[in-house]
Amino acid sequence: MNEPSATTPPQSNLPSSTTSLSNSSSMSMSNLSLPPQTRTARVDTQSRLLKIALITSVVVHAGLFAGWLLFPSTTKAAVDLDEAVIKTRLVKLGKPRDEKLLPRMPTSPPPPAADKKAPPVLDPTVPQTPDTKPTPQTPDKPSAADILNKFKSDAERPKDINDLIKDRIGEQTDEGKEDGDADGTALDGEINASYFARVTSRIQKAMEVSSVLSDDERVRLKARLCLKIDEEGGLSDLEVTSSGSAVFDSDVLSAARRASPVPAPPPPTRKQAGDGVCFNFCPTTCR
Amino acid sequence: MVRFALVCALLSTHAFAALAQGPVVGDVEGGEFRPFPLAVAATRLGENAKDKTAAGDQLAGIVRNDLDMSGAFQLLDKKGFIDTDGLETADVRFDDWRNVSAQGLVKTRLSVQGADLLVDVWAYDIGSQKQVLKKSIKVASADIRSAGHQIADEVFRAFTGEPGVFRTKLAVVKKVQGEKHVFTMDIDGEGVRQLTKGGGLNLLPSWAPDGRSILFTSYRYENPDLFEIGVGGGDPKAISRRPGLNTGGRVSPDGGRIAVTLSQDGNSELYILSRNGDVQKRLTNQWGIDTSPTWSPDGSQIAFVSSRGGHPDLYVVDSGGAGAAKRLTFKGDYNQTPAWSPRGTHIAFTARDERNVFDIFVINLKTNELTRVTQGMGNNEEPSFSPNGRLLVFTTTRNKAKQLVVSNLDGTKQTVLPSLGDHTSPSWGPFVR
Repeated sequence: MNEPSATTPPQSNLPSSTTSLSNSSSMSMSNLSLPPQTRTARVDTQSRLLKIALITSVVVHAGLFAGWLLFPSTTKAAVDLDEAVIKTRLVKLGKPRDEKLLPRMPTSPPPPAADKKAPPVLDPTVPQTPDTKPTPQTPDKPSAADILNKFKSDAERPKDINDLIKDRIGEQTDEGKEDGDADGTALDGEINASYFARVTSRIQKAMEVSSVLSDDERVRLKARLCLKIDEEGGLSDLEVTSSGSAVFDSDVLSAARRASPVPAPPPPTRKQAGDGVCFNFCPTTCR
Repeated sequence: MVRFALVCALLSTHAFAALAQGPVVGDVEGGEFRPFPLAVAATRLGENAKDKTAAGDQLAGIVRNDLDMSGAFQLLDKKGFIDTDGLETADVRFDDWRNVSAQGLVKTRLSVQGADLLVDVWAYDIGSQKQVLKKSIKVASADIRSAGHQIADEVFRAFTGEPGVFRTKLAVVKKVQGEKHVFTMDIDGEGVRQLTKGGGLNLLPSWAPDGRSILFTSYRYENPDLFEIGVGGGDPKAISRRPGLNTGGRVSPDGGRIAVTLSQDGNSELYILSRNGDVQKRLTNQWGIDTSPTWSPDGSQIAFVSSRGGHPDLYVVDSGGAGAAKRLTFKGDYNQTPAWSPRGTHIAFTARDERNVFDIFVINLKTNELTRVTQGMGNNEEPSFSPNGRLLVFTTTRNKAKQLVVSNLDGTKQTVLPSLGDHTSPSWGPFVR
């Protein structure tokens, strides 16, 4: 056993929460020079301090973990995937037209009738107090984990559970296979497909085909447009592989320009969108 | 250094190829069909034609009206043009035309060449900045209209790849001093010429495929008889003067036969005659009325109207008489006056809808899909196809008097012709040879 060095600094008897483990060996070395009773007391104190430190550390970490679970993230997703691409409303289905009748061209519905109710008459003798707005109540929202945990197993979960979660609480789940890609989640493929479907739909709406195309060209022509999409949805590096008709090629480029900017790509899709993707264009069908 | 440049070139090529070969993430199929935005500049006058301003304006006006009527083009307002550039490719400022949203450009120049006029035309595709047409046309000084229609045909072909119909003619029946006569006119309603004279009632004209004569039915002998008259006029030649009806005669596409309705046997039936009027075959033998034949473009079939099912419907029968007639229409209860498209794909006809209004419909022979061409615009009847199959002419009462309308097949572009008076039974002539 090594004898303590004469230059060993005096040890303080006061407990310190910052006792470093690296000093433990020097401390235990210094304990050996003390009388046995004092040494035992000191060891007890050090053990107690260690326990306190460990307990404090566990409590702090547990608290952080609980806070992460309980409180949703305040950062807003770059892309609001809850935004409806097509706004719809339910309308009453009219009586179906008799199949034996000749077809009619669709016409615009008449504007809704104006509300003919008279406005309320105010009693001038009664003082009018402004309506007080009720304070909106924000109920506690469940987390994605809470919703997923309601299902005892993966088999019980509906196939569109992730869409439902996103729809209800705007939160992505981190669900994924244990042996999956550490950089990706099971949702990446769906997010990519969903995003490019939205971009295609946006360009489709802007597409106008020149009437000068012959019937044969309308069936035969096919162009390919490759482009890059930046993080804001702006389009660049547009390049058309010609269909053989300068008129249709021009229609394709015009459609892309009218559609720009497209929805911004979500984080998992940004790299692919930025590297470049392509779309097929056909006057009627691409099949 | 050379090696470095080579590597850079290879890398950039690879990147370029990688972009061009990027993954396909979607198919954009179809789209709103819209007219091609076309700028027709004012006619420039050559050095020796400075006094031809009116002719130049007329020329440009005819070209614009013809192309607009086709429905394939959206003619841009010339007020927005900055038309100060040149005529040849190197001198055209494509950005100026792109700024007015033009995708196509037409420029013309009028010069005098002796007693004739020389018209030069250039057409450009703005997107690719390429010249798609350059041509010179010589016409008699008084024939500027003919030049305008010819230029419209050339421009139409340059941008669509199909022949234009702007030099073709229409035959139509108009009421004149208590009588009805067959007239011909340009497809813009100008150049009206009376063809028949005397005879009281002259009806149901139809062009021979060679464009040299017109069949029609006349009561000049107090019976509806079938006649043929040359487009230059003259005395009509009797084709069929059998007892009863001799109506709705149509020459076959090969010019060798005539389909007609005869009632010599006591009932309206379809017959095939030779060009001289000899009966070759009786096609129908039913209790109902069979009438209004129209030939398929290959001459193998005839569509017609029959009431054998209880009310007028369209049927199709083999022109050689093989097999039974097949019913074509199953909607509505009054379908008539069929016209077979020269493309063979569609038949246009008149139908009365549930509001007792007559409108034009087109049936797709491949899918049996029915498309409505007119609605809510008075009564529209008796369609006839243009020889390129892209347009229809029919009568309309939308403005009270019975006028002629030229329309595309979906009815999105309809032009009422300015010809005055009451019109019936229009027939669109063949391509000018």
